[in-house]
Amino acid sequence: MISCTEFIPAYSEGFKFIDKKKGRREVERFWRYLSDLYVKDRLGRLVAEEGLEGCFTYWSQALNEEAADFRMVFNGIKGEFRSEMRRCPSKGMLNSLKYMEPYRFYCDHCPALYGPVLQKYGFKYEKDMSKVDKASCSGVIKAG
Amino acid sequence: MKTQKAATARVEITPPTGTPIAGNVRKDNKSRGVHDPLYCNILILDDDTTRVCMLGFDLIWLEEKVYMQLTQEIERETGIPVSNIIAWGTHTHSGPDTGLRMYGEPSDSVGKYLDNMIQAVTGGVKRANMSLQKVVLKVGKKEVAGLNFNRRLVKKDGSVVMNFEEFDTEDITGTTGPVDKELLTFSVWDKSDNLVAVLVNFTLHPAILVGYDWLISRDFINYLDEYILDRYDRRVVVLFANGAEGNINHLNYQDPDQGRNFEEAERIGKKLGEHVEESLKDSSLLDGRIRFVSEKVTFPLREITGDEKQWAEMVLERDKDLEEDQLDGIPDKTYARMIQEMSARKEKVCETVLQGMAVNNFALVTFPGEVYVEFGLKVKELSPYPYTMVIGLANSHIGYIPAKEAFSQGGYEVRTAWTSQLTVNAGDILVNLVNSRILAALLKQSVRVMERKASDNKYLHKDFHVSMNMLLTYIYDNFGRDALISYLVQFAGEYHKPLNEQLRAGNRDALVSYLKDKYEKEEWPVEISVSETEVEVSQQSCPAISHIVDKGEEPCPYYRETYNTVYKTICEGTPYEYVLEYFDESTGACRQVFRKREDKR
Repeated sequence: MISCTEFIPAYSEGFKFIDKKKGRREVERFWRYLSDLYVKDRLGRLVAEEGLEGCFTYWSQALNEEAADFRMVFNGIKGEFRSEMRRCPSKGMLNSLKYMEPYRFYCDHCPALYGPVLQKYGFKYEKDMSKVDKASCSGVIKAG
Repeated sequence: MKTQKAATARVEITPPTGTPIAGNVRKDNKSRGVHDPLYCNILILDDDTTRVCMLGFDLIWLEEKVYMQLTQEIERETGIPVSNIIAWGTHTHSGPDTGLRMYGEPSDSVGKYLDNMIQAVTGGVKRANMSLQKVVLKVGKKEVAGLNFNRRLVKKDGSVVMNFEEFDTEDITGTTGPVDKELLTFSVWDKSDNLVAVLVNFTLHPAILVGYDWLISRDFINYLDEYILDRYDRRVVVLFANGAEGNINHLNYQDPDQGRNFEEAERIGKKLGEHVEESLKDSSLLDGRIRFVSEKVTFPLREITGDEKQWAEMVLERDKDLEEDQLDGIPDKTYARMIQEMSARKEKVCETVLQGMAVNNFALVTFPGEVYVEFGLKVKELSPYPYTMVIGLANSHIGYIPAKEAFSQGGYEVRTAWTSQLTVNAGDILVNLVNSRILAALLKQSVRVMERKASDNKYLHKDFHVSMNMLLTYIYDNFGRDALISYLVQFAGEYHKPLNEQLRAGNRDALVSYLKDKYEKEEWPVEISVSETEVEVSQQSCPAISHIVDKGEEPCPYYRETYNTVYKTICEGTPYEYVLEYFDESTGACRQVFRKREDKR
């Protein structure tokens, strides 16, 4: 059994496996598959019910369960959701497993999974991925 | 987008001819007829969590007793809580005399009118409440110049005169305070982008007509309403809500020829209509939940001084044979009568309610009386919402709330009466309450912050089992069973390399620790028995399969390989072999044995 606490390295190895089989485009196809099947039913449903605030509801559960080090702000006045991932539990775990090589585009899965779902509801997802090697990133979601 | 729903209704509340007209103290204030009918315009908003009912009455104001009776009736009939009903008077000075305390108890005709009105409006809310439809909300604003004026004029000698009193224009140096030129619109549109309703907020006493020709009228609001209905659709419901209009009216002291008649009401109403139309055209979308706050608050009452009591006695004696008869303002005799009534009361404070609503970058707050414009502007300045409406004369009427300075300057709004009964610092109290209790509570709902350190939480995201299952399914569906097994070999070979090395070195305890730790983190019951030659693991069900099934998903074919292949790979090249003795595909119940290989030497 692959425990849910072992999922991150299994995920990264899955991306590597698919990439090796059919290249990066196939990995993106897989992310789209996950977005349509998994993210749409969860984040998508919440955004449909709550609007942009659904992002706060979704990530407040996910990031707490993943024990992330984060700060997120839903600003209903400005109409934006900002998240600052001070230490991403996924990338942080991969970085800590020194004996393993993470999938080199690992962090790209995040905008690939969430972007299309948010776009469907009229929101644009902008991510700053300049510090992902340090397991840190930030993002803004707003109408657009 | 967040789903928003709305419903509207318009209930006619025109009083019968003969009903006394409010907003002036004339000897004969009985209405002679109707120039244009009065309405209660109703807007119900709902976002599946919060339902708010707005009621804009073409009345001078609603007394607390009437407000309570009305809102309780609506709550009983519709389930909309009293706290979520905002009711205000547009403050027309050509409507029925519902300002009960100002002129003593209501006459029979007003009392009967109010009872009928409550029933009719409750019926309207009840019908609207059953016809909510999906809508889009928008907000807009425009600056309006030259339609509203501060009515407190400063003379060359520093004294203050009201702009409806006698003065020489040459003797006026300016006004004591500012005006609020902002016109805001909160509009409701159907799915086809047709206007359904608009709430218009502008600061201006509807006292152009003041019972002109003893006719009932909505004053300039009638023409504003007609302008919008002509431009859009006759079914549009227009709710006009006044702002902090305590010291604001339409009289431009520099224009001595300005009329006070229906032509002037039409000029102002149509001009406002044009601004509303522009605001609607430039409106921006409001997306988000409806935040609503309602707070009961109290305001300290002004103490009636000995001098005031003496003055009242003197006036009542002096004017005993005089009729109370005045178009603007209040006659001395009426003041004196009110001072006597007020000095007999025991209460030190008056209770009222403040409300606030916000959607996205729009907020509205209610003021319970006729508040000086300075306080309305202050609230707008303090508000974090770029579009903030201040709705005056809302829910109950606690009188004028003038600026402190006005008390030494004198003038109509500060003279002690039922219409001016609060302490001199009431305005500061109001701004502070609105800011700390209403805007702060709305802000807390509108802006949500969460900050956590990794150590604040346990790492257990069970939904990863679902994601894992999707990865396995994708590989299986697209590349087949062998690829699925190859992937699991790759994962286990990479991730479990340290464990494999420990086992190769004969460290069986490393395996046992790994297994115990894994199930402990999963918070899953398992039996692990350890002997000299075996480590046996038995479980009644698999935590991963259980979660996948709970979430309505189907485990990937060959899910058992996440046991079989993974553990066999861990044991590769070690003194241990892995045997999956039993595995139930539907629950993941299984018995697994890590057995020491027999020494073949």
